[in-house]
Amino acid sequence: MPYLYLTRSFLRRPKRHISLLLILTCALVLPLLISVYRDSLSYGTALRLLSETKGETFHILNASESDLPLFENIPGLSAPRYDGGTVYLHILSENEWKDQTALDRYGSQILGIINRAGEGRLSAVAYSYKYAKGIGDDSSSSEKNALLILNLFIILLSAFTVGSAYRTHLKRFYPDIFTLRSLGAEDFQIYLIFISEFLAAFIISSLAAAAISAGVMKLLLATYLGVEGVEGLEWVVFRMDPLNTLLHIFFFFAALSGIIFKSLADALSGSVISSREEILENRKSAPAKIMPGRKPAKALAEIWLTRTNGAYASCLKTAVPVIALFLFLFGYLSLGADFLSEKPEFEILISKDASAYGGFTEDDIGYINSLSQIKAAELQRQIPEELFRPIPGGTMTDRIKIKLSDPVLHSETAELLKSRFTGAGYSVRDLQETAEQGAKTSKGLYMALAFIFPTTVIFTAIIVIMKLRDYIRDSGKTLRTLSALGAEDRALIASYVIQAAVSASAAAAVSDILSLALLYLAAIPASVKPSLNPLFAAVYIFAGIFTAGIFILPVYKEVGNTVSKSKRSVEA
Amino acid sequence: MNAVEVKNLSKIFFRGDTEIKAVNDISFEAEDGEMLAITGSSGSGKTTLLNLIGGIEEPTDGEIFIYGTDITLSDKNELARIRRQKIGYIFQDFNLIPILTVKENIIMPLLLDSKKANKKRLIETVRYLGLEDRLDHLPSQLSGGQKQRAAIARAIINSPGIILADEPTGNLDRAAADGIMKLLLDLNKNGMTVILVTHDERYADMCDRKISIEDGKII
Repeated sequence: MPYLYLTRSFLRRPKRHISLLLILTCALVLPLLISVYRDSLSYGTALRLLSETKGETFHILNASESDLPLFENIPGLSAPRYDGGTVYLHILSENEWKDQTALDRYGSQILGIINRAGEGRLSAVAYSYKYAKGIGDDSSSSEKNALLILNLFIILLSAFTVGSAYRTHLKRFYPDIFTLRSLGAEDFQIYLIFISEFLAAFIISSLAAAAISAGVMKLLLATYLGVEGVEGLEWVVFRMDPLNTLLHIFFFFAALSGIIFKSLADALSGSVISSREEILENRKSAPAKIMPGRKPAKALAEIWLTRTNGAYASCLKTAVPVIALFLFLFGYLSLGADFLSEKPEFEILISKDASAYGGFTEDDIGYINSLSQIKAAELQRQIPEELFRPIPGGTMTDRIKIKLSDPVLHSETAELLKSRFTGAGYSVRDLQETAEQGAKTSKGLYMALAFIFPTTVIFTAIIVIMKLRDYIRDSGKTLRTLSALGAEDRALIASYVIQAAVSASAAAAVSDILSLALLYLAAIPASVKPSLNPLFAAVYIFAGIFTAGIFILPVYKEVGNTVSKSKRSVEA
Repeated sequence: MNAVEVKNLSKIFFRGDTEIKAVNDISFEAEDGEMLAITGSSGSGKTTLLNLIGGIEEPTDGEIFIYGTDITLSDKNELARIRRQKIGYIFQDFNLIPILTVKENIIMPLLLDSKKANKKRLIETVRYLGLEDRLDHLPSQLSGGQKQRAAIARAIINSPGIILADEPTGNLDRAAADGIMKLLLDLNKNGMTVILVTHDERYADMCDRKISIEDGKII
């Protein structure tokens, strides 16, 4: 029986089921998109760290193959390995490697060997276990944790919203449930129908959402957001961890299934079935003050607002959090995009480990000044360098910041400088390349928003339109009666549009205020002040127009249809 | 033996703080094979009484016996079984499931009972009700009279002993209503107990006996 009912229902009332599918898919897309981004960030971090550390604890720099015997037979360390000017060693015991004290002890031992050998050209760096294994440090895991918490919040919000939409979906089946029960259907048979429908819809939606998220993220990473091989930036390389994806889907399912069961239990409880007319009418006992002599549309709108506004309250509960979340995401990502697209004052940075090798020499400075493409060079001596590498002791760095006569020359100049300033504690960074990558990422963030926006639109619009169309259909009797009593079509339509406009204004205003408050709160830790630029204002205005549209247009159309239908039936 | 016996039955609804006695201490019985009419004005409690007998609503007080079994003591599943096997329901609004064809609507009680449709029984029933050429139609493609005949076919497909008919002629024109009434009388002649809720005295007078209800009480 459930199979027969479900297949017939899907074939003959496909819109109802497709709406549920679309709502579930849209609800899952955003969390899965964030999950894929988080996986890609983790994967990028791992690749960057593995590329930097080569999976080893110690790197002895500026070495030659003949230095290998110096580092042989050190108890607790691997045999030394030489590759491209560097000798690599690692701590054999993983437990010792994880222990900072042991790492410092081995580090001192290596420095002692270098000092005893009197090899001034050699220097050493050490990597913690987490770095060398590509796991990352606390800052990268705190970013991932923040994304996870944001995602769990989005999932809970989505589940709550989908739950509300599901109740509306189920309400459309109340007459059938009533008939099936009067024919002797047991509760489990009715549960079976709707649980089967929900499970089928959930599985299809999950697969669709996972495919969409993976596809969109792959495209965004390939074109804008992906970072690989760029020094000084977090790498982001496409990765979709099946377990993480499944966990996100399962969390959404767990949060949603409670609401679904509650809705089903309510639908099957005698009170709902026997008082379904009451629910559809959504009446309140408090009467509106009807002032004689007022314009009919306004007077009627007041009645609707005070007695039949339940559908709008439900729409507000759905639309406000979703629109506010989108506007917040827009504002927050815009802040990041603005920061990333900032043009650097200097295109290239050369630094030198002043503690180990002494600062820049006159020769160095002379060479830089001799290059024609260099417009200006600013020398900063003895800058304390914060060590991210846990080698014992601190270090001081000399820096030369270079401004080019034409920023386009950054790549070739950086290459030239890298060939001149190699080894002996020198490091050359192409800041222009980093900035260009940042600008690309910034574009990517806007592209991601351009994808999230239609998803949010579809999600919110389907739910709100579904609820409001049902509301107007349930008001059909009232509309027909008023029409028969001589109400003008214009007045009837206007009265419902006024009611819709009041809720639309409330939805737009509350979402704006809520999103701005969230944005200012989120900007506090980064000490950034959100700037309300024209794009920002345009997006807020557009979101307001969209909100008005989804509240007013379906009502306008449905009331118009109902009024003309009632006319046709009277004429017939 | 009584097919239906109702003892001191009451149903109270609450709307806010207001208590509404839809059925107020009613007792009566319908013998097996009897055709009983329940009449009364709109809002008198007729439909609530029928829903209580059918186990769709729970009484506030009293007892309801269906072939000697007190259904007020039955759990939900037992009530569902009684509705499937012993009671056939006919509604004023037909309550056909709009997505199912006429045939699928008719066999729904069999499906709910995990029974296969007996082809011979189905053909006999639809022929009896004149629906042979409408089996693959959707309810929306039928006239009011045809819809009600399909609803009657659904009510009798499981050969129940009792038919509960709630204003079955209320939404029909005179000719179609007369046809439906004739069918109900026929079913009764064939041994089914029919409890007919109606406000049409003409049809009530065709029954073996009638009881009138006002404000939830028999008058």
